Formats: sequence, C-alpha cells, structure tokens
Amino acid sequence: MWRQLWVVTRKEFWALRRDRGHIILLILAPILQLIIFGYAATQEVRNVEIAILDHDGSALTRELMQKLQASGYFLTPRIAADEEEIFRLLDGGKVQVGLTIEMDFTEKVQGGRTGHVQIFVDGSDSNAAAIILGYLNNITQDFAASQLALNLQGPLVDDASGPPIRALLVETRPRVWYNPELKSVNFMVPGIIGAILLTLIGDLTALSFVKEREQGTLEQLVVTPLSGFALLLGKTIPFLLIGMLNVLIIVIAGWFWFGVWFKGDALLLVGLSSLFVLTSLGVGVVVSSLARTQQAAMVTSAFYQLPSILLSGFIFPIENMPEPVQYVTYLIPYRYFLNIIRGIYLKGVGLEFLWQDAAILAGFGLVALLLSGFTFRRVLGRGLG
Amino acid sequence: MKGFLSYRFYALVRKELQQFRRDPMTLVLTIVFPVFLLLIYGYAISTDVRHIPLIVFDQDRTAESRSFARGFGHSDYFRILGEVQGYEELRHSLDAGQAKVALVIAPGYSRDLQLRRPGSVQLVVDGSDSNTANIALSYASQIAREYAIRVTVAAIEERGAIDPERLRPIELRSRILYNPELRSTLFFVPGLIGVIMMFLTAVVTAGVIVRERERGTIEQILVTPLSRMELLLGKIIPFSWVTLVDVMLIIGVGTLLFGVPLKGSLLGLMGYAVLFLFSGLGIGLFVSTVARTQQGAFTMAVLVSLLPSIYLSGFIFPIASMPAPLQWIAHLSPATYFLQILRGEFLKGIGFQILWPQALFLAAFSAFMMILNVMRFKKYL
Repeated sequence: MWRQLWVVTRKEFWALRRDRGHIILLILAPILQLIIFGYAATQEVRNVEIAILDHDGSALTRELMQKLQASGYFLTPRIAADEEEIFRLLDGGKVQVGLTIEMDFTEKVQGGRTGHVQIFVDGSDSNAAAIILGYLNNITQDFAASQLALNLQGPLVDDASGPPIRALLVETRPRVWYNPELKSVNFMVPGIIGAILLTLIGDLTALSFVKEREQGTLEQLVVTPLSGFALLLGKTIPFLLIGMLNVLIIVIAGWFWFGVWFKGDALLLVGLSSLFVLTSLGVGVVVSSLARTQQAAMVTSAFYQLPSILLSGFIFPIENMPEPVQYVTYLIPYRYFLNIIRGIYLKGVGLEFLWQDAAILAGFGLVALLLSGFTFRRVLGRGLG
Repeated sequence: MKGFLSYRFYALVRKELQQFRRDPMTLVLTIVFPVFLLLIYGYAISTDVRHIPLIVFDQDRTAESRSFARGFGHSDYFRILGEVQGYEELRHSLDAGQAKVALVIAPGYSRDLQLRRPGSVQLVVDGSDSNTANIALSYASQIAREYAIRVTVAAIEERGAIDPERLRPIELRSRILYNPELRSTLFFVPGLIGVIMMFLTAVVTAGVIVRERERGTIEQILVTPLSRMELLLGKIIPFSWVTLVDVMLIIGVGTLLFGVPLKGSLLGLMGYAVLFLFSGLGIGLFVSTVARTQQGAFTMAVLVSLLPSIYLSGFIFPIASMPAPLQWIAHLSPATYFLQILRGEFLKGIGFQILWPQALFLAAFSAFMMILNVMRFKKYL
C-alpha cells in the first residue's frame, strides 16, 4: 500500500519535472502574489491629484492650500485658469478633485460671515471619492475651527466668567490593536496563504486528473494493480508538497521582506491549514469528474474559487455586503480559514477562540472527502479497489 | 496574406468552432461565467464601509458622555453593539472579532467639558483590516469634530447671543461628478468587461495551441497548406466571437439590471473592445508559444495577464496609492488603459478626443504582440 503510494507520487513528480518552466512559475507564483497583495492591495487613498481655482488669491487661501499640502494626501495642486479647465481635467482623469475658492472668501471669513469652498469630486471610484471627501471635510473643519478661534478672541469669549473656550472640546486619541501601523500587508499576508492553498492545490489536482483523461493515460493507470486510494493520494501528494512549499515561501518572504511574523502557535497553524487543504483537494477531485478538458476544468474551478476569494472577506469585508449575501458567505470554507489564520497571525489567539471555525472547517473537509470519494469512482470509471 | 480569404482558412475556423460544439461545457461556461461574475461584483461586493460594529466603555456615566456615544449610533457608519463594563470585556470582544472599534470615555469627561478643558475619549480600533480601520478612524474623528463644534457653539451661545454665521467661518460645498450616489456597482461593472475579456482571451486562448501540441495534432495542421498568419487567425477568431458576445451580454445586464449608465457611444465602446481583444489574444498566444503544458500555460497566463489586470489596473485598488515600480508595471498593462476607456465611456461619456492616447497604446500593444507572435511561431513550430 505504501509502496503503491510511493510509485504514483514518484511518477507524478517525474511528470512535473518534464515541464521546468512550470515549476519555476509555481515557485514564483506566491512571491508575485505577495508583491501584488502586499504593495498594491490597499484602499488607502494617497497621492490625490487636485486642481485649484483660487479666485481670491489671498494669504488666507494660501494658508488653506498649505494645510491641504501638509495633510500628505494630496500631490502638488495644478492651478486651473477657469472652471472649464477643472472639468476638462476631471473628464480626462488628470485630477480627482477640483477645488474653487470664491472671490471674496477672505473678506467674508474675516468679516464674520461664511466663506465658501466648492469642491468637485470624481465619483467613479466611489470608495476613493468618499475617502477624499472625508479628508477635505476634516481639513476644512480644522481650518474653520482655527479661524473661529481667531474671530472670537475678545471680550465676548475671554471674559472673567470662565476659562477661554477652545474651539475643539473633544479630543479623540486613537489606539490601534493587532496592527498598530495599519499596514495592509499585515492583513494580506495571512490571506495570501489561504488563497494559495485554495487555488493552487485545487487547480493542480483537477488539472492533473483531467490531463490523464484527455491524453488517455488514465485507462493505463486504471488497469494497473494500483488501488484507487493509492492513486488518489499518490497523485495529490506532490501538490500538497508544492502547496506547503508555497506557504513556507510566503511565511519566510513575508517575514524578511515585510516583517510580518505570526504571533500564535505554528503547530496550530499547520494543523488547521491541513484541514483547509482537504477541502481544496476534494473540490479539485470533484471538478475533475465534471470537466472533460483542462480548459473546462479551469473555468469550473473558478466557479468555486472566485466566490471564495471575493466573498470570504479576503479583500472585501463581509460586513459591507447585503444581508442575503452575508448568509451565503457562511457556505464558504475559506471564510472560516481566514478567521483562523488571521487570528493566529495577527492576534495570536489560540483554539479557545478558534474552535468553532476549526470545527466547521473540519466538517467541510469531511464532506469534501466523502464527495471526492464518490466522484472519484466516476473519474476512474470503476469502484474504489 | 494571399490565401487570406481562402476556403482553407474557413475550414480551419470551422474546425475550431466544431471543437466548441464537441465540448459544450466550455461554451456554456464562457457565457454563464461572466454573468456569474457580474452578479457578484454588481450585487455582493461593496467597498462602502458602513455599520462598523462598535462597543462603548463609558466610565463617566453622565448625560454628556451618553450623548457623545449616541452620536456614533446615529451615524450610518457605526452600529453600537452594546456597553462593556471593563477592559477585560473590551479586550475579549475585540479578540473574538465581535466588535471592530471600542469607544472608551474616561471618568471626568463631563467635568472636563464643564471646566472647558478638552474632554478626552479613546478609540480602540482593530487594525487587522487596515482599510476598514483607517476609514473607521476617519469617520470617528469626523463625528467627534461635529460634536465638538456643537458643544463649542453651545458654550458660546451660553455667554450671549451671537450671529450664527459667525460660528461657521467656512462652508465646504461638494459636488460629486459621474457617480453622484457613490455606488460601488458603477465602479465595478464597467471594469468587469476588461477583466472578463482578459480571462477569455489570454487565459483560455493560452491553452489552445498548447493543447494541439500536447495531443500531437499540431503537426497535422502544419502539413496543410495554411500560412502561419491564417493559422494564427483561425485559432483566434472563434474565441473573439465568444468574447464579443460576452461584452454585449455584460453591457446589457449591467445597464438593464444594475442601472449602470452608458453615457458614451455603444459603437465607440465596441471599437475599443476590439482593440483590447487583440491585446489580450496577443498575450494568450504568446503564453502558448512559451508554455509546454496546458497547466503551465494556465499558471503563466494567470500570473502575467489576469492578476495584473485585476489588481494592478485600478479595477479595485487605486494606482496612485501604489509604490512607483508597481505603477510602472501597471502602465505597461493594456488592461489599465482599457479600464480608463471603459469608465470614461460608461460614466463620463467622454469621446475619442480625450481617450485617443489610451486607444493608441492598445493599438501599438496589439501590433507589437502580433509581430512578436508571428516571429515566435516561425521558430517554435
């Protein structure tokens, strides 16, 4: 039995070795993902391009510009000649915000009336637009508060009846737990491990069976005295090893490159990861029983993998989804694994917090295993020997 | 090019189409799959951060502190889960992931306010999801600022009547263009056309030639009197049809079901789509001349075409926030330019006089890939 297993595993490694380019890609894949998700996957909005049309052009408006610059969110503003130019820049996507200041702004503000600042925001990226609006709101409010304090100096406020009124009476002191620098890479690295275990292992498993069938070599395997179990396990072991190698690469690269290290228990991480891998393998086998060509296999497994990636909370928080969709996410194993792996990586929590997720994941693994057992008969065209 | 419209050429196209018919699943999937993606992006995914679960640890227990906390509950941004009585409970709630934010009001908060000292509140934020945490912090400071202004104004009014306009030195008026309700659906659906086209052209096509080689049928085609150009186009054309049908499908579903406006012209959009189609096919064919097995071809196509066109093109994450080297890569990818065209045509309704640089890049990219592929084909076959 173990000999049989070894024979199949060795054969599969030989098959892999024949395509060197593919091996290189399999090792590059996690690194590329780490770079993309580590650096690019951030919804923070920085380097905002802004165009300014300052009809007033006074020291006060220049101070406001300086406040915008000092916030660090905006690039050096483009100076627009008229409103038309602002719209042209927005249309062409050259700027995301246009800001105009009215002619008698300074006069109004210093004269105790309300000065107006008009902004035009490109709303195509709804998320970025909302954040940019928030930035501008906070900056102008702060500026307004300091102006208010200046305007109100004098007997009206600083009278003998009490201490002077400060414009801002509530201070918020933020404290960020688990990821104090708010680096998105800390959040993404554990997720990438899950994504690799989800996509790579599932795809490779499905493709390897479909390929044998496409080339007609599956019949040759079936007539050998190998048991179905040895065939199934033997063929998947190389992919398990590749998957584990990938996880190792991410863990180490994430540590050296991004300085992300897990706070929790390594053994727990490996144990619960293998629970999750069971589901990926199972889905791979089921897909291989459905698809006739490798192309079809790729598309079929995408039906499982894409919702897993998109609806698990890997990139988009589940809380923001409509309620019916939130219920759907309970059916996605990756959701539970994300909780587990982020918990271990970022919070350093143990089984006392994660046992529920682990139990559900084990349930999914069991179902996937049973399903793959049944469908594997179909793949081979005979019973499990 | 002389045999371009020959009977042989059509025979090849027919052969490829027959391949589709023999494997109906691929055809079904290439039609069902885009609609499936569209439903997920159009309906399920939203980048708007709202209803962030919040717990309150009110150590002051006065009318003022309660009114401050209520301000968070009234906003659409936070959802108050309840109160906790100590730091132990607070930590547990954040550890378990029930609450993402905890608002801690120190004892003496209302006394500070009465003495006109700044009252101080602490905000404990679960930073695991840095995006949500950042947005939560920004919302919280907005709410605190608004509350502070209310308190300040009330304190000033206490000392005598004052012209309310004097208390509002600056007003920010904002107008949101192109997507006034800030619906993320309008952000995602146009871009999805590019992602699905890239999937169908680059990833699925990549397998086509590798498959012929893996099965050994490529020699059979090579001994026919077809020219290389005919061979390339014959492989490409069936997929192009499917892809363009998909584009129409997404435009239809997107505009009718999700109410995405198409402010530009449909004809112009299809023109750009054809340009992008050739770019994607160029990548797919290139991959298929490099890869030795279909598995290798898929992995490579996903890495060089699909990942950049989803994550680096600006489809989800803004390019301007990326580090410079990634921005350079983004600007080498045709998906980035096509995305600008798509959003421009759908949401802004701008035309060729603004979009010509993007179109020019796509045309140049397609031409470059086509030449490269013909050259590689010579060596490779």
